[in-house]
Amino acid sequence: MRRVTDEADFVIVGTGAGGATAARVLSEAGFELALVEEGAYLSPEDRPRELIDAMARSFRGMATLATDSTVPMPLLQGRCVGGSTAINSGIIWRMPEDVRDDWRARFGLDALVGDRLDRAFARIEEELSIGPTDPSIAGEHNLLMQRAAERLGLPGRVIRRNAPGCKGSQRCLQGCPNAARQSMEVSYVPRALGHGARLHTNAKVERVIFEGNRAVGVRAGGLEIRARRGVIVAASAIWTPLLLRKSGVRHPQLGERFQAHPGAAMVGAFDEPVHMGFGASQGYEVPMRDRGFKLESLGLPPDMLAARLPGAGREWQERVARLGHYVQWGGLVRMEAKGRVRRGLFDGVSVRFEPTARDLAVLKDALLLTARMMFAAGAHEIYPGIVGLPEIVRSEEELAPLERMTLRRKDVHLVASHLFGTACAARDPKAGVVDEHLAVRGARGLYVMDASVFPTNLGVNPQHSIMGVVHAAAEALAERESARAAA
Amino acid sequence: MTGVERRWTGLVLSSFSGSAAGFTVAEGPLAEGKVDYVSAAACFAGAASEKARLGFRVAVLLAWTAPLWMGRRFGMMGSLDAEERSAVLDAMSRHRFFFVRELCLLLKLIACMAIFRSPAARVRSGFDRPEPEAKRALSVIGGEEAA
Repeated sequence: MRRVTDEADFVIVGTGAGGATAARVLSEAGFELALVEEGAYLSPEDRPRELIDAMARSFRGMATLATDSTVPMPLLQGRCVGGSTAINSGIIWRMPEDVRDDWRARFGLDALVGDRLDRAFARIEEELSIGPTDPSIAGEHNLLMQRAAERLGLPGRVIRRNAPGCKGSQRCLQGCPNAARQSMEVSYVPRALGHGARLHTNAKVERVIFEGNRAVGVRAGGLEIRARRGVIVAASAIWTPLLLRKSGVRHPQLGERFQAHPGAAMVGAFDEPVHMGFGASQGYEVPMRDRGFKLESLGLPPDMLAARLPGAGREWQERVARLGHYVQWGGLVRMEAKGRVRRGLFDGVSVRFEPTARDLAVLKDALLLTARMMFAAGAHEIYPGIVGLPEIVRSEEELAPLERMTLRRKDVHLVASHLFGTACAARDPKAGVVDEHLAVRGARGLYVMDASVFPTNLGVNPQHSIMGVVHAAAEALAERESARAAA
Repeated sequence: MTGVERRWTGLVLSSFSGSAAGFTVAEGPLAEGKVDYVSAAACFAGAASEKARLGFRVAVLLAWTAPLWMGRRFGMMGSLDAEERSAVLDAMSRHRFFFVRELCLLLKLIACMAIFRSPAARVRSGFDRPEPEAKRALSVIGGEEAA
């Protein structure tokens, strides 16, 4: 097979929040870059409204990659230019202060979460026009959640997003048809390309090439890209550790400490029309940080909503015919469970992750509050989707069994997005696969710049934290490399 | 998919909506639209993970044979009428075993993705807001810490 070659100062593997932000910083600092992306570049025209066609193009395995377990949990990831930023709702949260304090205290990451991170956040917020969801495109499913939060005195807030021109088309998952959401494929990737970076798509990197202990390039099928200064791996908390291990990197913590924010959702039926097809996909949230969870409105496509309606046959059809009268809200839990990622038989990967008893107790708390909020907003019935509860719950009193029960993993359908760990950063060489500069220990010129380096999960949506941390680390790398070149 | 798999898949997926025919939702509120369940299933199988592809095949087999192993009747799904098939799927969705419920949910999701590939089904469901309608404002509450 004829091998195509390219050469650049840095090769960046992955174009999600981490890879694209590294590309944005390093390209503007004057470095020549080659970006390698396993998925395709999808323009807004390439992203159909129909869920099945959209997911086949932009989701990893149609969102069916799952944990290894007798009760598997699907793991959501994008697989296209922009990574998961191209399929999420663009929710933006700065890294909470308590997380930064924890990282300083337990992992010695003062440099990573210091002042430079605040400057990075401010710059990203300006560049991606981050702000609260525009009231004109709120949508009833968000307004109802706001009504519920106000009635119950909960600390709800309008979600801040990176979607300045959002028209409320409710297609975040399939891909914004108006390129309003500033996901990486419409923001930092084109910006890096404008500064001379080259993008190789549909190219799955199989290994990092080393000369001695120095990373000098990557190989992706028939493509070989040489790196003069370094290789940056940003392939996600699942694929980064596998690529490093396959390339010969060894560290006891590689693939360990896998963490996530799994969540579950329920559906509420209202007398008045909701028409979830209009509005920001996710425009309102109730962060309950002290209780370990966050509730969000979930404006999902009609297919996903209909699949959650109970029954089959005529009864189900009658519910589907009233699809404009439902909301779907869900709770994300900051789980304490830690899993691990290894090579596996199916799909080349094995992810082990089992929520602890405490995690499930927090999830129960989140689901109970979600149900109460639905009744507070005026729902006449809800479909909790929890074993042990009636399929249809018509009053708060009927939630009593949930209050009393010990929720088991198999009682509820969980989905995990927001994946962390597996190439943890720490100052202590025994604890960290990468150091506080995100350089891989035991290798030269090899860096990890994605959520793999997070030593803990966050309890909030991670995109902004990933971008901020990578922005700060890439900026420091550019300064070191520029100084080295000048010396 | 083999010819048998296509036949089983079409009949099982169409049974969520209570269809009498293989590829058409022939009665009820979703009527009038043609729904190609088999092509949706093929699209899913072409892009899904290896584990999910296996799971899908197992799910179709489980559903096809459900009348037998659920103790309802000595026969397969193909021997039941539309209403009975829907009742079997409904029972699977409430089964005591997690993997039966999850595989049934997977089938239901694929069936829904097939149905909502049809713009007509989407319109009839009322999911979208009819135009024009006055927009309602979401009041912005203060103290946004992320700024």
